[in-house]
Amino acid sequence: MIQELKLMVIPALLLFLFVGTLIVIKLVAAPIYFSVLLYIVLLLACHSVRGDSAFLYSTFGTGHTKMLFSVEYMLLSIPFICLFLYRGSNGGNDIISSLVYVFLNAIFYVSLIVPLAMLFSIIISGVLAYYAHCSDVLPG
Amino acid sequence: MFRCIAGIESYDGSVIVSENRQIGYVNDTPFYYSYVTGMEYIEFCLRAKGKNVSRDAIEKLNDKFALPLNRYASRYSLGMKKRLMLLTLMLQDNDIVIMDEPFNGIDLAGTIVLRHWLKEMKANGKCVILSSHIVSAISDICDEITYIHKGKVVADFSGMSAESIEHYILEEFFQ
Repeated sequence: MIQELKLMVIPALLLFLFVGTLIVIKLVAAPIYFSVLLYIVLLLACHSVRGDSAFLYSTFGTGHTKMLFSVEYMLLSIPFICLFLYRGSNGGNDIISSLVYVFLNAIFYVSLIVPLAMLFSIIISGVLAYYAHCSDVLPG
Repeated sequence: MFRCIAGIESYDGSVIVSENRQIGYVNDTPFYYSYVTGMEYIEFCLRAKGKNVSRDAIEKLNDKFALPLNRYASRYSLGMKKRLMLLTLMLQDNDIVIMDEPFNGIDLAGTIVLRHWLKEMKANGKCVILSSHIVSAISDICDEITYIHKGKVVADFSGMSAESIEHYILEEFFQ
């Protein structure tokens, strides 16, 4: 495997780490709703561009594949959960409980629409709260 | 339709398959993970289907396919990728096999092995459902041939020769 891995992987990995660190630093400073937004975008992007769905469904069947996806996305969301725990606000707790709900739903093969709608509602309420706060603080 | 039977796509209605039938599905475009060798891919697919086949048995069957199984499958040529799919399918020993355009992009050696295997499956009483636009490759193997035109079943060519099928399609649908 090492023989066929090109040297280009090393700078790409370093760049990836640098960008990742930068994003985490920015997210820690920004309102928590941006983290949720990034989390959802990342999750949806990962799911929509993956090319192995048909292969997995045909190999493992629907039930096992859904479970596989949920485990994969749960691993992907660990940095975000850590971030939310680090932030430790009430909003953060709501988001963590929503994420847990998402994964429980995914594992037990229930529709993801309800928990995703729940997450979106949190974002929207966050955006509204943010604008209300801005209008109170900023002149005009 | 194939994706519905294989359980990949949701659909209205029902597909009736006897219980405990193992279904194998071959996509028209082969998918292989990066940095997974041909041997690893085969072992993965076999384990997923609960089959326990030794490496010796795989190597023995591979004599027909001449695939470099220690190389990464994602770097194979299209013909080799198709042959690897076929080799895996043969080892899985499914009850029902669904193949979407299996003759597309397959090389000469692969075509010969595939045709031979299809005849073998037929002789063993197993069910193979396949789609193909190469009439000559399937006309002498398939028991039932259905022509789908613009999403609808429009003709049944069962028992007809490749030449007469081609002539019929040309006369009826493209003039």
